[in-house]
Amino acid sequence: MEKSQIKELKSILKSRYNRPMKYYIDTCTRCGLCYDTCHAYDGIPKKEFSPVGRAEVLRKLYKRYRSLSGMLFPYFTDAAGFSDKVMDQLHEAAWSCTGCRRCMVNCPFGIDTGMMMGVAKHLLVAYGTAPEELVMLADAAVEKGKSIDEFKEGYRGVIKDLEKTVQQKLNLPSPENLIPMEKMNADIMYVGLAGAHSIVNPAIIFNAAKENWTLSYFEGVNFGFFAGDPEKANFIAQRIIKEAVALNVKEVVMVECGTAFRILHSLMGELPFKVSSIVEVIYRYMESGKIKLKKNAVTEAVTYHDPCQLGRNGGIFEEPRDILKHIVSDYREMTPTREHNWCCGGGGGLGALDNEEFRIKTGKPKKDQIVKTGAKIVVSACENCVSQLQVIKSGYGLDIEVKYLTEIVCENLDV
Amino acid sequence: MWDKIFHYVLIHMVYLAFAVFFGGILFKLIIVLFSKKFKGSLATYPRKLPRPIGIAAEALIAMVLLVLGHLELIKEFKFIQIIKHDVFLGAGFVGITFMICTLYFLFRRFKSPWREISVPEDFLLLILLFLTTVIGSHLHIGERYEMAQFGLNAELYREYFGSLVAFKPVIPEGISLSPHYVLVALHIFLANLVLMMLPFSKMMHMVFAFLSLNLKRK
Repeated sequence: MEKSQIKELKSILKSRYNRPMKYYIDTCTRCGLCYDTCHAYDGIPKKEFSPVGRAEVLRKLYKRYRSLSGMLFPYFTDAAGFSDKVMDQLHEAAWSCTGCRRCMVNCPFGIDTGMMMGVAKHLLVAYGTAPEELVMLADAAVEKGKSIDEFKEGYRGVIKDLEKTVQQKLNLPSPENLIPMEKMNADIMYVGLAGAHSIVNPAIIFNAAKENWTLSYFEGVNFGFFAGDPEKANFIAQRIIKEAVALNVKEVVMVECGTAFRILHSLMGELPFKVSSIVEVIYRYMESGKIKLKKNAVTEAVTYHDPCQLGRNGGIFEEPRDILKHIVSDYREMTPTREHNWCCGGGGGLGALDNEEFRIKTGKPKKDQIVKTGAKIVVSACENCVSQLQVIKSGYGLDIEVKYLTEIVCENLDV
Repeated sequence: MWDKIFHYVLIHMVYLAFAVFFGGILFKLIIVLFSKKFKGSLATYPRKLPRPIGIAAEALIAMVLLVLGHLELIKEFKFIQIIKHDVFLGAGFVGITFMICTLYFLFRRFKSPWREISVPEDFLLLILLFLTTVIGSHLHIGERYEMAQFGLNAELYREYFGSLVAFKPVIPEGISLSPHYVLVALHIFLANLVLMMLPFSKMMHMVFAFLSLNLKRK
């Protein structure tokens, strides 16, 4: 490895050595309590796929460069400097972690391995081995943010087509303005994804509830965050924040994407508007009577998969369950559930990579959970989770149907 | 020569160990308090404490009792004597409990999957804690149950520790002329090492655990 590259990597290490990282580097006792909490380790029992095994690769770098004991006694503390071998280990560690933070819930010291792997990904970006797919998608999102005016006309054309679908579903006389854009002072600005389903279903729900809303030009997903590039991640998130501030909206509602929700809800600090998930908004409408859902309309057994970023990292547990319990007559809970629910294995950007075999193996705990419920329909409220559940379904040949929460809600809207 | 070494271990090194211990913890806390805060929230939900590691809870209780027991070797504290007992606290069982815990953690490290994640520091610290406790327990149990006319009693320790606290250090002849002097010196030497290593090793989790757990509940 060249000296200049080591210097650059060391400066990243230093810049990311904030207060939580200081705790996480010094506090881990390698008790191993996190071993059996990771779906990746459960699927492929290999040290490198355990939370502690992953974190140790980064920890040994910090010890080598930032800790007195590591500098003086590298053998005793297992400290190691930057080398191609260590960077390869870091790659394996970072790109097997979905950032689900199930290990953090179970760690006696609350160590956030997901955050540590964020630092690892940042180092890999500088080292040049970050997954190209994610880097390209992040670049595209940044480019869109820089020159949004060039995208607006084409995007409006696409939205016009989607408005017709909303009109048909709700039997409305005209498709005009069913998906409003650039609307000032709206109560809600909804942030979708690139896929039509992420806009059409929420648009049906907003129109059914007669909401004063507007659609964001940007997609909620943050490929900068997935790739591990904090600058791009911040720029991508700031696009949405600036748009919401410019339109003076009261609330930003995030699409069914756990990471998109967590970034804006928890990681961007104080914002001048409320951040909610579409799941919370649907629940609000249902409770206030703004939308009517058919009672017990679905008779097949249904279970709900908690997206990690909405559940244990976002605190949204009861709302989706209450919605589903209204619609379905046979709701079944997974075991373990809520904050202890197993990650499906598709988060953290892993779902965008060419790693299907790995994701099938590491999705084993989720497969076992689903099979145990006997459910025929698995519902989730996250793009990554739904895609990964489809991979698990085909990988293990499960006889199930996977649905978005907004999808099952729209199918059972009483209009 | 040994007299000089023991004298150094029992007096100078003790002051050095406490200075490194408190100075090290203060240094670490200052570094943390002046470091960049995380602007968002790292909370997990619901906001509750994680599952304990079982035996770690017992080790923690034993550790607290060991600290309290050592305080009584300086002078009598009424708050420790709420439940009347002879010095040292626990009649020997506290040290034995702590030894069992450290042995459990140590032997576990030779077994997969813990073996794969263990580094030399892990073994070293557990061996150090075990040896410190085994010699301390030997000194306590030998005196308490009057084995082989042990002769090292709490009054002698109080004289010694009290003089250290008063910064007028003396090693009572009852200790320095005892045939078990070498064990006392060894116990103090190992304890000094533990104190000096604590702020600069993973034992720092005793302090940082509260701060890191606080982050996930904010």
